[in-house]
Amino acid sequence: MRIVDPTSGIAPSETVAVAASSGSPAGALCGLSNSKPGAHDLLEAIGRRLADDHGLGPHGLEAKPSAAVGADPALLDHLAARYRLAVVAIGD
Amino acid sequence: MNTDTLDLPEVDDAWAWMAACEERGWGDGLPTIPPTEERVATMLAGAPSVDLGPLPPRGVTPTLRSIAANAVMAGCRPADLPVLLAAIAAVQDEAYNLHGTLATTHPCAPMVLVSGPVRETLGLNSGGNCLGPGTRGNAVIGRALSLVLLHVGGARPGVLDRSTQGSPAKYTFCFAEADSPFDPLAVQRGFAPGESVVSVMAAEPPHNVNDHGSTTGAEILLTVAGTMAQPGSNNVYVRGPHLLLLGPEHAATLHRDGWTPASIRAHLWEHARIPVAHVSEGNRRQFVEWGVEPDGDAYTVSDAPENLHLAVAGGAGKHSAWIPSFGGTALVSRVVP
Amino acid sequence: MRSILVVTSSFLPLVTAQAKARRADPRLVVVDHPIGGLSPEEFAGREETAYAGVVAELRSMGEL
Repeated sequence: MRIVDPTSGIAPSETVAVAASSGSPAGALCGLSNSKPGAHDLLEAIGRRLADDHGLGPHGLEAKPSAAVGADPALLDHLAARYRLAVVAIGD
Repeated sequence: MNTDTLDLPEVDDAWAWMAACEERGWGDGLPTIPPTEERVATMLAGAPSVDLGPLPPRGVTPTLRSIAANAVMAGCRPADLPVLLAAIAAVQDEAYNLHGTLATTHPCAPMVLVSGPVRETLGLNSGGNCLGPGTRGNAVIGRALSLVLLHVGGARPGVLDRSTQGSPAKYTFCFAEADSPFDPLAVQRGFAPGESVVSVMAAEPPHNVNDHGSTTGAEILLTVAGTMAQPGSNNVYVRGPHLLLLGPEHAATLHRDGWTPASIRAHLWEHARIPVAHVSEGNRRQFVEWGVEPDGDAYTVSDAPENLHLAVAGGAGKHSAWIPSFGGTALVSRVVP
Repeated sequence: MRSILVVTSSFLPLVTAQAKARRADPRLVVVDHPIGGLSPEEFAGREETAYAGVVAELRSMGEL
């Protein structure tokens, strides 16, 4: 039997752009959570311990406006401009 | 030979086709019709052209042939294809938030509500059991949309579709609105009365509103408001749209008493409230993080009266339905091409 | 900007598929699912795993 592949289509051409900060970032590390309570708590703890144990900081903590939607590109640009590193938490 | 075709030499009957689908992770678990080249060509004869973008989460852009293949698998007739295409275009609207609705743990499904003359052309059911089985058009159009999202979009349950429990509505969720004393939903949304329109929303299955005892519109709305006041709904804190689908008998009583879609909406905004005492402390803290505070001693359902949409469908009986949504979505309407 | 992704095991297939679709190769730290609704003791275990994973990744990146 010959069929039309129901999964077929035009493959994505999108690639991930790696944003780099220009100049000196204000902070070393930021956390970005998917806005679920556990993810926020986890990032808070990781940031605190990295600062205490390794002096890695200052750090910021941001979240998507809602777990239901993607992160605002403006927020990602803002973080990329201000921080060198990001820890992103996706959990529930 | 097209590059989107597959030879399946081992498939020589319906059982072998089902096994081939299962092996590849295709389908919804129910039998499908093999999308042979001949059947796909028949489906595409006279098909309108539409401009479609990539479907998340996989990011693949469907072609008319891949859409037609899924329509064949679902059991669609060629005449159903324009409604399916309108529904696909509607869920691709940014406001619908297709990626979020497909990857979420919430059980939302792509609800398809059909308005206008195409309801009669396709024999879609807007009457008794319109949300249930029994009518081919309702069953196959909703199913075809789900299959497109599954196969082309890649929203495979357990992999990219992360729904905690899912819902029966994920198999198919398509119905037509009935003629009623009120303006049809599409007309309420600015479309011309003669236009055929598809409206989509990432929705929970319908929540029944049983009210046999009330004799006035105000009494019926008291029951509706109580049904809507649920602390476990996404609409409470994610906000977004929800739909009140009035049964025709409830709609007739409301109309007789002078209610309009606008006044129903305004009344339910004031009276469908969730007492703070019905919401756990942990949830109250989370709601605050999401920017949602109670209005006095109760929470509103969603963030504005305009987010409650209203339509009429169903047969004889004293039942209506409240259909909450994923919250982070919109009710999106498109004209059928 | 360099990043590390902390993901619960339940969401790993989603993250992996998304990364593939976008041709990305994220640094992943996987912790047991869930991370919400846990007792303080249960959460501490998740925190420990996540922290150790992030530290290991930062070391491999030359940041620590």
